[in-house]
Amino acid sequence: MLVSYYTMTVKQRDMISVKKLSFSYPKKPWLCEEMDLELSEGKIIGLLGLNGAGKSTLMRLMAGLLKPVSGEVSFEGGATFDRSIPFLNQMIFVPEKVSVPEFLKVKEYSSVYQDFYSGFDLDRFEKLLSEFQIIGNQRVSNLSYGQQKKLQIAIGLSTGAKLLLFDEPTNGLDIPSKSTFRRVLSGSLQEDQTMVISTHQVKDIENLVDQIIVLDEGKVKLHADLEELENQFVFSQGPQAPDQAVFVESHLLGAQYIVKQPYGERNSGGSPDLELLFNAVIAGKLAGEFLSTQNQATS
Amino acid sequence: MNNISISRILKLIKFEFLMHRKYYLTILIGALVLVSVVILIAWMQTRHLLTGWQQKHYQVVYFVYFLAVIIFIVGQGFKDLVTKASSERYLLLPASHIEKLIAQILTKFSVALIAMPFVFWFGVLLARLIGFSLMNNILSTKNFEKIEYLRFESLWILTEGEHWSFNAFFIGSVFFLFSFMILGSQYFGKWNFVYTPLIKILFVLITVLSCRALLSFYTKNNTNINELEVFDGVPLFVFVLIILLFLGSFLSYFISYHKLKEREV
Repeated sequence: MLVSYYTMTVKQRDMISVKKLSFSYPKKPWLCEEMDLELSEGKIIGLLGLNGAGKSTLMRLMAGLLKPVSGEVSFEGGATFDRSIPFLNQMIFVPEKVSVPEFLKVKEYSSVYQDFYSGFDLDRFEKLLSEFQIIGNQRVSNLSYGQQKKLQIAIGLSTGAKLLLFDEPTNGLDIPSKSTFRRVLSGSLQEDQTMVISTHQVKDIENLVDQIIVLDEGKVKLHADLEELENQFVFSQGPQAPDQAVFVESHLLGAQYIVKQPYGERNSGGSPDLELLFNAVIAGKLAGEFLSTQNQATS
Repeated sequence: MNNISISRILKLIKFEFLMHRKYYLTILIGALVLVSVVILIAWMQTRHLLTGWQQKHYQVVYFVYFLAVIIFIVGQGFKDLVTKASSERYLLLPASHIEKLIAQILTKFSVALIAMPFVFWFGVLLARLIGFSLMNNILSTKNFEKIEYLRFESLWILTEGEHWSFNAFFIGSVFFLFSFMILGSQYFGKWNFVYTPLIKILFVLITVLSCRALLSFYTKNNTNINELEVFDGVPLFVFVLIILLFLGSFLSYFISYHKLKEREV
């Protein structure tokens, strides 16, 4: 019997490509200089950073609302700032501060997106409205800020866009709505869709994202698949941190720590603690790229 | 150009009227009421009741009304680019920049050149209704019968028999005023009704004064600026102005397109 093995390398398609990006607002310090980043399709990506790190700015650059001072930000080969129709039809940006004309009814407002987005799924939109407990015939003026935000999220998820950019989507949402948001998101995304969620509320996106980007001082300090981090590091807590811990943080019960997995071993330390991970990156104890770019198949 | 779709332009026009319907309803109703009040006040002037009110009087009022329409309605173009939130929404609508510009131009043209003349006409009818039914009874005067009925076609200023240069100058002026106000709305936002008319007045002064200066520099006698004719009955000055007006109109839209393309939020 002949058994053959082969290793297949599959690199997921890059959807957003950031090359040597430099940007600053007029007469302000540089927010990023010579930044490089590739975002592949089929991922939910958490974009983390301190206040003023440039998360929203990077989102706007990806959405085509800002023009790079130098370098390029492109979507499937085309510059995002060109705001071409194929790009706009495949991208939806939900900003942090939503502003919906208050005199409109929910269905009137959503009809705008229905008209312009060829992939708009009306059934899905109505299901999402129902999950978020918003009535279609209501006037927007009767919705609270949180409900308006949920409306915008529902619209965003129904457009059928391949690239979804959500800037601080959980700001203004109450606790039950945050759970609904996580549940809806985890069940909503198609394989060829990519969602980027920019947030400083790390807990809101735990167990939701599968890739993390941490921005600090205008640079991408960490770009990692959580699965890969889980393979390479152990996130744990105990009375004492081991000597070889990469990062240690004091905890009520002792210490929370990150330890590199010994080579060849695979101890499951559970899903990475995003808050601990973020603090480790900001403290300069952990950085780099940890991406799964190889799939292995045997036959 | 494969970036232009009639259906997307129509959707953009629908979007404009949906998002700003309160504004458009307010100006339509407001203009109707204002025209009625102004016309009634004008009719109440004793001399008009004695000598009558003719089509030419309507045309004078309409001319002022038309200027106001250009400044306050056409000049409020790109209303979605006034605030940050609405700019984000508008710029990211899946339509090309040229479609967005065309939609704005068509919306403003249709409101200014189709809807507003009808509003003026209805305003006059309303004033006539109030004047004839109420004022006659209150004031016991029969002098309202000297008020002519407004013929809608008299609002059309261009008439047969006028020299082609007059028509070209008038059409060029309207095109230029429209395009410049739309361009101005992208630079000055809600203050466009102040700044752009000021710039236009400055432009006219510079054009006229520079022509006179050039003329006096090159001629020994005090030649009348209208004596230099390029065509029969068409002074050089007027001919050059006609070309400048049409060129200016095209350039305004060209700059408007690029301003929209480079807009950042």
